[in-house]
Amino acid sequence: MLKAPTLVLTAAAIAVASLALAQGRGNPAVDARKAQMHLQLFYAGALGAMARGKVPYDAAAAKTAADNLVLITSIDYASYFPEGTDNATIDDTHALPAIWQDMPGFLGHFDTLHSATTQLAATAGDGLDALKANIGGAFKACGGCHETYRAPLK
Amino acid sequence: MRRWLTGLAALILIGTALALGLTRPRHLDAAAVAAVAPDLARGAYLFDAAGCASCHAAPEATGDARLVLAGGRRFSTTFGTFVAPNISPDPKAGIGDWPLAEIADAVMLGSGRHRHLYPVLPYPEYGRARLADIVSLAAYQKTLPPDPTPSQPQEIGFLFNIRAGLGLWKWLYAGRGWVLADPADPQTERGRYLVEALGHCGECHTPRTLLGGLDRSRWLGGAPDPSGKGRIPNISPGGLDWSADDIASFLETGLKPDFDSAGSSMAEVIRNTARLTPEDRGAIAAYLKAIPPVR
Repeated sequence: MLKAPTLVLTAAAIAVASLALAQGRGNPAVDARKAQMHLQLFYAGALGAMARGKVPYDAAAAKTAADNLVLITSIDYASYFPEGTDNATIDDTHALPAIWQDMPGFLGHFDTLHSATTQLAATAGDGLDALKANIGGAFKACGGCHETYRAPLK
Repeated sequence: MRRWLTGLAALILIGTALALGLTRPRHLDAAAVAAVAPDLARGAYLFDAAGCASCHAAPEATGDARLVLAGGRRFSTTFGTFVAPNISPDPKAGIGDWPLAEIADAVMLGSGRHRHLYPVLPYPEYGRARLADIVSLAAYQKTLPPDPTPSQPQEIGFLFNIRAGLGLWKWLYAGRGWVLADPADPQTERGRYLVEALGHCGECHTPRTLLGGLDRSRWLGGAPDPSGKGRIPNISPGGLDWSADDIASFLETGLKPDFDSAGSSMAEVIRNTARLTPEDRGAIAAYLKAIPPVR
């Protein structure tokens, strides 16, 4: 027996999914994980621009961006990657079949990312040097996963 | 009738001679190779610039394990699956008993011991390198750790597995000059050397002809991913609008201007380019801004 909120959420998800398919849009799981990646990139890009000196360092903005990354990376990713949504099966995704050959290893990269963003957020508001010291770990987590599990982007 | 037959025989003879001449593996001038005094420090730098470990280190190797050239990585193509051989200095499993001249023959001309090598070893590019650089690289390779893992056989389809045919392939596609004929300044010229000779960027980023040669008219204009899904990006000015600084930063950190990270095989390439000097990364960027745009 599903709990009431779960039931409602599941029904809503199915409704949204049906609607999305009916309108000829992409796979909702693929859309959801792309949305998550875009959010991550938005905040990581803001921090990267500060670290590289493309925009001036702003302690409050840096802290907010890093905190948001901690929040976003605490979402459960597993549900975004149902079977049959790899780039060999469907278009419009760069997710390699390797993900489904080693799902625990794949999801482990998200744990690494979450740890790295937590460490980043702890000091992101303490000055540019602190930001520079910890941002590399977060970007390394991005790259570590993309190297193995993402097909080349055009 | 008799005259016609003589003509045909002559034609066959000429054709055979031509074919034999073309299909025999060529060799470098032994005296020129012997005249080089190998520079090991230079060789170590070239090892990164030429991306040797990216193919010849064991699959998944990172850190110092990238110096063990045990082979075993698999490259699937339309011609079959190539398996990187062991080129560590192990005398049995690797190429420890190859003199420097033989290694230079292989790297620059694709001529292995008495046979042609498949152009999955990018000798059409490495062949443009300076002989002194390749001999230094070969001398450095001999200082790396030996590994006893035997090389695996190539898994190449019928017809393509006849290595004599590679002589004709080389006649068509190897030994060609620079693609960018007139670099405007020394920095662009240095970038040309790094991209067209050592880095062999075109092997992935340039589309191929039916016979598997690089299509120079669409140089670095992007190509289908060899896996059959997706595309390798167009990095000519027609496809890449990044500034030269953006390109150089990407080659150092693996981060694009929007701070997305390099993925798949490019992440492996960044391991090499991150170890080059900032001047060399700047030279690569200058070169990429200077080549003709492919739309």
